[in-house]
Amino acid sequence: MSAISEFMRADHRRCDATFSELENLAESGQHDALSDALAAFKKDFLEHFAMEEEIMFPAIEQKTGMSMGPTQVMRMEHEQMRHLMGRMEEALKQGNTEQFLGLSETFMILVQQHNMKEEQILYTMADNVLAAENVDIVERMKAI
Amino acid sequence: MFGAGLSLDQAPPFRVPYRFFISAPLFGIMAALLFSLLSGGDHRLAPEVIVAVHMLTIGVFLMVMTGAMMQMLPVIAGAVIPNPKRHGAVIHLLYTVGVLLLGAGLYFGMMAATASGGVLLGVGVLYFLILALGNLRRVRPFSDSVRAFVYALSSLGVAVGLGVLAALYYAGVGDYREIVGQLHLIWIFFGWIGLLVIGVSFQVVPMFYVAEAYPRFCRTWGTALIFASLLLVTLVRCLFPEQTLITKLAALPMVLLYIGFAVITIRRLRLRKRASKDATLFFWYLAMGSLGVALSLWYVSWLVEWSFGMESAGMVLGYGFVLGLISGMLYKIIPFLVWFHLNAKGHFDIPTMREMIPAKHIRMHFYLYLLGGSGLFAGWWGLVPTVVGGALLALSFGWWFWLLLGVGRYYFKQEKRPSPMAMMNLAQ
Ligand SMILES: [Fe+2]
Repeated sequence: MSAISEFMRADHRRCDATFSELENLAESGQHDALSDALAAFKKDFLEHFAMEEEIMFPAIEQKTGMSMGPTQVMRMEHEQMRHLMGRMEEALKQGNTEQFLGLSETFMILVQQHNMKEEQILYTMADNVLAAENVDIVERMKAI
Repeated sequence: MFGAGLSLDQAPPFRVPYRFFISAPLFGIMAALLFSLLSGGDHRLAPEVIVAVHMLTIGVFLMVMTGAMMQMLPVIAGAVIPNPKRHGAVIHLLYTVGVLLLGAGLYFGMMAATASGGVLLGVGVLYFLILALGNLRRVRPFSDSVRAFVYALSSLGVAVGLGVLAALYYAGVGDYREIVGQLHLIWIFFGWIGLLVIGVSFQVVPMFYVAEAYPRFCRTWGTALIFASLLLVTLVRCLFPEQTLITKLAALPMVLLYIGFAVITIRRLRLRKRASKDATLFFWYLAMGSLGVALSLWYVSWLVEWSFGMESAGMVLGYGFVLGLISGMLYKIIPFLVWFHLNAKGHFDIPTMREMIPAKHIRMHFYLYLLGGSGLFAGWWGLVPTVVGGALLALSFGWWFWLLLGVGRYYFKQEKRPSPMAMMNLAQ
């Protein structure tokens, strides 16, 4: 019954872990491992965004008939995060660690506030309105 | 129906929480000045002390925690407060005038000022409670944090009721002053403050430090058990007006639960995945360490009636635990809010959080804060003149004020800049 929220919560924690790894490497100045960590970080976050934007959000919107509601707010926040990710990548490529860490701090808080809203409200809503097809939705999200 | 909890403007305008945050250090400075006025001898019940304690607990603690709640309720709990600007301004005004009147009344022995200050504060807290609980009521599902908030807010209600009773007894009605005063303190520190801190920690520790979540038992039962332990303390204290071993044993569950919370939090933080050692982490460790130490020391000293231990424990609890945690949290909350609101206005060239308040300035505050704490302790026990202790405290609060003012000034300056988004709209 709560398959979607459980899966997505776990995915948030996975993203947190890759993010911390990137930040830890940048902070301790281990530049050789940095580009791999950066790639993993981008991959995890973009995958997560895609699962929501391409599968879960459209499904919710279809069920509730609301396309300008919470899902739209979440999309806009994803956009903010993508923008920050771009700036973080730039800072790393220029070797500006201070700048990167300042951005990553902001990114982290933004992500966590966003995750709170999703875990608190949106995923619960998804569990409810998509109760019948929740296993199918999770399968389709995993396939991304 | 589902949309109610989520909207873009759910974060209240910057000035709503900021008004509360920036007032806090000013009341701290007042408390420090009062402390420095203390003369030698037994000053436990000196008016300076009583007023300073209220400046700290109401002017600093309650002020910051209310501001933070106005900000957090929509984000953590999904409870949107309508008209936050107006409500925030009313509550802030009631608190400020209330605590000033109460302080002046207690200091100069003016009954009318004390009473009206108390009434204004009571009204302010009640206003805030109704606003917060009223909006939380609609929140579903009840997360662990939300449950903690509800217990915390309920405790605040109990504490205010007891505070009013204590004030009546002060005015000469009835004679249960000591019991009521004690219970008032317990509900403030271990009900309102403690449970709120727990609710916030459940969210903040795993998320911002990428640490493991609190154990499930602790999340689902911990806050209810603590609330029950407070009821136990209250009930037993009322049944046994004379302080006996029974009343002391009744407090043991509460003490152990909080020590457990402190230990779990420290372990979670030590095993965090995010290595970044930002200055707020020092404050967290210090606060949780203080909580554990203060409670152990207080309880043992209480059992053997050792006043040095009990009073020292009180200082560690208030200054180390509560003030430490508040100080650390604001350095994350305020710069982020500045960034968030400016970003939402479409400014993309905002400095990062680290550039808004340089880490070395926060570290400086941490050292000054430790110095201020030593000043408090040494001044209280007569190791240095209270003027010296008070000056150190004032210095720490002053630096805090200066840093918070700087970020606020930056925000208000930037806010006036035309938003790039508005310009784009014009061009279309
Ligand atoms: Fe998302």
